[in-house]
Amino acid sequence: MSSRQKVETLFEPNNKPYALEGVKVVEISYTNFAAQIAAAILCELGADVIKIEPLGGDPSRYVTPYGVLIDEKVGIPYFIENRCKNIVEIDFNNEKEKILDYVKQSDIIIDGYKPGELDHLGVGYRQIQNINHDIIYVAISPFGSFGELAEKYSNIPYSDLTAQAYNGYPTLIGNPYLQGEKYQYPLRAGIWVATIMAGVQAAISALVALYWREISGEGQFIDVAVNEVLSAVHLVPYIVGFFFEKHREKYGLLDYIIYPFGYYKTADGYVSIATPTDADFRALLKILGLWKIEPDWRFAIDRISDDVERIKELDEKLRQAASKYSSKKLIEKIIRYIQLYRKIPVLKFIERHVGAPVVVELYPLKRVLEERHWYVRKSLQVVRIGERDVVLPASPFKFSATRTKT
Amino acid sequence: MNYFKYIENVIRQKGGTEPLKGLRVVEVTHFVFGPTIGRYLALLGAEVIKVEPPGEGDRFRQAAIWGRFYKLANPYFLILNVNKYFIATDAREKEGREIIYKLVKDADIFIENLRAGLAESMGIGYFQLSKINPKLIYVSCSGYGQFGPLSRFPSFDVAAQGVAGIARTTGWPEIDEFYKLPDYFGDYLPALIAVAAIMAALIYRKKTGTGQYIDISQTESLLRFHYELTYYSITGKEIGKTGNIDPSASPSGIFKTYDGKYVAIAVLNDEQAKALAEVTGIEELKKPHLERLEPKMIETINEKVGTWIRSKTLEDIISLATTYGFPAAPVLNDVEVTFDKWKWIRGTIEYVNDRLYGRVAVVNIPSVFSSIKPRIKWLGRPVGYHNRLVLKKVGYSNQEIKTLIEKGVVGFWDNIIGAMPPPTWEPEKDPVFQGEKDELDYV
Repeated sequence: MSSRQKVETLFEPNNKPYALEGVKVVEISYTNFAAQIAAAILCELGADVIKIEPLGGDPSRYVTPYGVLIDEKVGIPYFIENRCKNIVEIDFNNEKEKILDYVKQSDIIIDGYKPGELDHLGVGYRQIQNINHDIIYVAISPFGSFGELAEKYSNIPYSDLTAQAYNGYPTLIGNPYLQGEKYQYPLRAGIWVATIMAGVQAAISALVALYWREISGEGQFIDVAVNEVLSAVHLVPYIVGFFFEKHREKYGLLDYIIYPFGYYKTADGYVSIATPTDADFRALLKILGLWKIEPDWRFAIDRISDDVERIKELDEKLRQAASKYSSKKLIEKIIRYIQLYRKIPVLKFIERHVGAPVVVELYPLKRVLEERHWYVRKSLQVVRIGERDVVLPASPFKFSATRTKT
Repeated sequence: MNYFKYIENVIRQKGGTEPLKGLRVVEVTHFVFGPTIGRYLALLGAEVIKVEPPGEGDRFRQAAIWGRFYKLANPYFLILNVNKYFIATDAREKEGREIIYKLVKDADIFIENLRAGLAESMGIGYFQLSKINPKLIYVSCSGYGQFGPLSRFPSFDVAAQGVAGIARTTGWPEIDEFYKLPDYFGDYLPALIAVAAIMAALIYRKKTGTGQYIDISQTESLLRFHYELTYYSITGKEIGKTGNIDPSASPSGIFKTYDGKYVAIAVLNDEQAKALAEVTGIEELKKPHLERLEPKMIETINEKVGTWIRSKTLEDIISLATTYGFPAAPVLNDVEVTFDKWKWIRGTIEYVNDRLYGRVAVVNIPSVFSSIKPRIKWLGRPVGYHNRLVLKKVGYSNQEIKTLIEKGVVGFWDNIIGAMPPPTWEPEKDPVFQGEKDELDYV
């Protein structure tokens, strides 16, 4: 058996237990996808999750691209993030006891309501820790649950776009060379980046607290603010802000560390191009037939100046060169280049100086869905819902000793 | 007591223990994906030993923002690799490998983000290391995972975003370009997924004593949240780039205010829409959410909201959002993000006095805990800086250490920027470098 096959058999689900076998989670959230993702992650790892919604349901049910519903019932993000949970609707004003019954027996609470609202209803951390002393309570909101500013802005609800904005993300996106007022606007990221990062961060925090409780017996309160997680995880905004006291503008295909590092149009599609090292960049120039400009752009420092006008010349040359080839042809050329140099024995010693630019096709969604790799690895699954085969993402966690659920 | 005051008391009163104290992590990592995992564990109190090749070290040491270094180091590397111990040895050499085996013997977690399959060919793959330490939690990080038809495909943040189809979602609909999610989202998201996996594996090991192999990939972490794939499988259509419109929110966009600033607004439910209708008088906002999500309707509402915003200052909008309750936020830039007082109060960013690099602002883990406390203790160090200290920790005698250094089995930095120590540093006056003291003795 090859080692790759040996690895593959390790990950077969069989009758493995869940990593979080027996862990009980209660999620109480309202139009807050960061909270839903946090609980969904715990669920995938094997926890039993109950999502408590008010009568009539959480309006998240209808937060979905262009209103498209699954089986005419709920929206796509809601379906994906809640498929693993038990949903119960409770009358918050008259059935408080029911909520307390659920939280009494649970290990982790995920609170995705407006800060203080559950406290006001008598089912917040203050009340729960009286009846369940070692509870782990994670509150997720735009500005958090303590401090003057959190209180001042507590009435502003969660949304991904506003969280992206507060994290400084849209300022960086777009092409600095485009003319016209519209294109000077900050540009949003096309997926819910701020929500996803905050949701996973909250799940990690709950798991760290659970591990700590195993050791110490101690529960705790955890506060996650969606408006800060994305930028804090990325570190870069803070490094630029502190060390350079100057902000970055939109940089599109450019980059401030590695260039090129983005998507280039070819004769028939698009490719991602990344040249992590100078050697990779030099190899790219050779492959693209641009070797004569090498002296001007030899070192990373030549290619990542904060002066975008200076880089424009190189950027245009690379774009032009890439557009001459089909994506397939371009990738073939790179593979041939790498193989050629690896064949020369003396170069073995300086292999890393030969360079291997990363050039990969940019997949249209149809092709992503057709890629066999995801099905071999069970990272996408096809589920029959009503009249349709629907493709859903499965868990990104691959464990050898434990199992996941979706 | 007021809720916000009450929570503040809860957070400030309790202790500051490090939950992962006593755990040892060995990482053979470079760039961003792998090192971020070690960073989280190190901030939570684990002893993280980073193994680098001698000389140049992790190639990310050279990857300085705008090519600017700080005291001959890359500030990004220093902050990405806080609280770690740095040892430099070549795992491809037998004697170097022996050292890694010795480190792994008493370790709890091993992390690698080399090309899939490379760790095994170097003799430090899962099958090799789990023989030495069966309770080990071994984490492999790659673009596509350790098995499957694409597993040996090249990857990097942007490439993973491209293959997962994420890249198709960001840009202007009428401009024939796609933009990457900046700041290495395709590295940081899978890194956090890996941290979650490790924590779950630790909890499982605590109960059962069993270690395991964890395989985390960039593309699959991105796919997990790529809701548009499901949309495609239902409608047969790709939504594509929608500029600043979030197709799940109406209105949604980034607008210019009367005072020339940018504000983001996205309405996710009927209550929020009603609140905005009350302030703006826009009739369409009274329609139910699903009707407002009609593509044409989003545009109509957006146009009206845009006109209204142009008559208001940013401050007006935020104040109205606060009073009425609809999502709105200013679009910040790096400097505003960094010096926002709110985050300093939360402790997300703080000043640290580092023995080698002085006073530097460093970002911590962005969650506020009441019973535990992630702590920033020291910054990244030059290549091989902790060789003596780490070897001593795992039981090598002074004589053995001397021999290993003389034979070059463990090495130090080359004199290249990013790998070397700060200019005024004196090796003979640094007891940590000499292996006589621990970094922990200074914090």
